[in-house]
Amino acid sequence: MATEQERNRGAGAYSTPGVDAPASNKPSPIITSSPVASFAFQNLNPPSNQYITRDDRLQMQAMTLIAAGDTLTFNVRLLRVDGVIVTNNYNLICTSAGVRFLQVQTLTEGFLLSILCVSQTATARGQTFVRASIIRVGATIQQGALGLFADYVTLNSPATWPGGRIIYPTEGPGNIRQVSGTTPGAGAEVNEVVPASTRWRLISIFVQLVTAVAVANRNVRLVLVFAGNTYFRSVSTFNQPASTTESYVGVPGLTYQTDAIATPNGTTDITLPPDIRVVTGHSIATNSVLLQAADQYSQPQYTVEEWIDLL
Amino acid sequence: MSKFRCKSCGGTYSDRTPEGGAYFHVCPPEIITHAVTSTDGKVVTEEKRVQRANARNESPRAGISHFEGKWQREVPDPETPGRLLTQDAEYGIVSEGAGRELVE
Repeated sequence: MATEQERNRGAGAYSTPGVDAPASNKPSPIITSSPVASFAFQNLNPPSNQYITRDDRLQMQAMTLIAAGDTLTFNVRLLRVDGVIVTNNYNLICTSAGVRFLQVQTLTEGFLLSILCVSQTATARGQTFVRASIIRVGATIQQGALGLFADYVTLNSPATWPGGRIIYPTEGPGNIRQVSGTTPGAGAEVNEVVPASTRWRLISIFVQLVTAVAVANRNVRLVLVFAGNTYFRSVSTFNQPASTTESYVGVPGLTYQTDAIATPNGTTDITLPPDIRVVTGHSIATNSVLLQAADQYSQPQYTVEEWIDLL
Repeated sequence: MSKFRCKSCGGTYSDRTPEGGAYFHVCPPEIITHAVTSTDGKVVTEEKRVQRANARNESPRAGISHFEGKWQREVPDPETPGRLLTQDAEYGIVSEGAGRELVE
């Protein structure tokens, strides 16, 4: 606890006026300049240069790669000519993956203040892409007038105007996703095809081959094919005999190697072109030498970075 | 997640991945007549591969958009170069093949 002497030292809260010495520091002088500019608070100009006429429409476009579809909510704020700010919400419902959904909305005449779009389902960039623009409708034709934004959206990451971006869907990072492919029938090759409106950067692919009792040495190769034309085929010199299981891993840029570990089974790493990008219709497939009728490939598991490639 | 078997190629798959992404099955393009080997592994009859005629491709048909509540396709206007017209269309996959059946 402070002593009486300590409490009365200086000119603090416990000081006694006229008894204690005044504070040694002088108060700071107030230095303030009068503002040069002046501002109006009435009869203001509209805070937007985008006037919406009765011929203008809001065009909303979206595409999602989510299997269950997605719903995009567009929140629009407009300053009406009578000075009232109105807010409207429009939903664009994408019921299918991999196809484009469009909706054209009539707006109130006035100044467009802002527009924001969020997804109700997408959680990762690369899943749902939206584009908003102002179009003009005439007697016979709809013409684009102003791009507002074009970008991926998620639940927590909206696209906005003003301040948003207009990008192509393949710009920037995509969605890293793991795909479980088709388990081929017995004696059939793996064949995974890049879907419509999609671009993939292949990160890795994993598949096992269980060979039947038929005596033959199988060689598993990975191929990249487009329109029936093979444009890449990997080298694999591992001879997989009958009645064995071998894991095959395709990784871009990896050096071919195979191990001798028999438990749970051997692994062969197969090289793919570095940083390989594949677009709609391209196949990532196996091309096996001496595959037998009862040989069975497992369900291929692969990881890709995915973008929407057409909107 | 439902699992299906393709009646064209015998492959089994789910049309959505565990994280909710869409998966579109496409049949392998070739039907293999497998090589016949002897007991010492030598090839007796060479393998043959022919194009699959009835492949199933579940990718959405290209060029289809859902516009103002209808499925439509954009086609070039023959009278005005650079202008697109819209025609009514049906949503569908690229090719049905022999269909698919629910496995589980």
